[in-house]
Amino acid sequence: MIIVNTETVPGKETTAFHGLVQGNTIRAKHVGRDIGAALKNLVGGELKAYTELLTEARRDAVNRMIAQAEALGANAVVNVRFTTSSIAGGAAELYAYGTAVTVA
Amino acid sequence: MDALIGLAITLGLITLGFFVGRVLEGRHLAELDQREAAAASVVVVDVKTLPAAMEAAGGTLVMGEVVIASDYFKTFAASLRNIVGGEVKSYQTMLSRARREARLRMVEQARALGSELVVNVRFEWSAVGPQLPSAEIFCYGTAILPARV
Repeated sequence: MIIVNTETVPGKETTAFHGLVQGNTIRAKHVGRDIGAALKNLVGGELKAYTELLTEARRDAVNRMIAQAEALGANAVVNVRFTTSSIAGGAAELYAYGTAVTVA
Repeated sequence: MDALIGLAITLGLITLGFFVGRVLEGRHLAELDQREAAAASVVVVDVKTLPAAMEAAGGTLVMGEVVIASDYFKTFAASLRNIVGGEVKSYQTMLSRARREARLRMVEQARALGSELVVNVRFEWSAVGPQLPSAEIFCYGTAILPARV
């Protein structure tokens, strides 16, 4: 499965559209992470636990999108977009969407 | 007495934030310079199309993200700045560091795939971290896979 955020796959030709595909996931962190983050806030810098949480969640959203595209018989998803929103303090939604296509 | 202890703790934390935060920031900036120099051959653009003469064998999504937090001193400096208004320099350096880091992670992914060009790069910002002065920066784009010659 080819995933790109351009409208076509570079070097390939789009031969069919299969429609919009999407994947989302909502993640909440556990309290331990917040305590670590509060300590980190004294000296600043990267909150690694949060970065990992979001990286993993975003990969999951992408994988769900890919699963939908596979079910439609597509071999690529083009023009992928991401949105992130925070729902009620502490939980975040990661959403990925794009167009499932066949490329040759 | 309690008020004095409270004040002493606050001042202590501000001092800690100032010195430790500054050292950590300096270290991170030096590391960024070094990694950016190593990855300088990768061209990053936010246009969607390839140069006319370029041949590509395909593309793939690459992403980089980082959640960054402010230190106690920066938060304090920003709250003072809030009284009189104007540019909040302490947060400006924090966010530019985060953008460089997120972009670099994306570039390093592209490089690992043998790509020398990332197109259609987008930056996204979100406030999904803890209830503290922090932010997530997410950078993504399409790494162009070079045509085999």
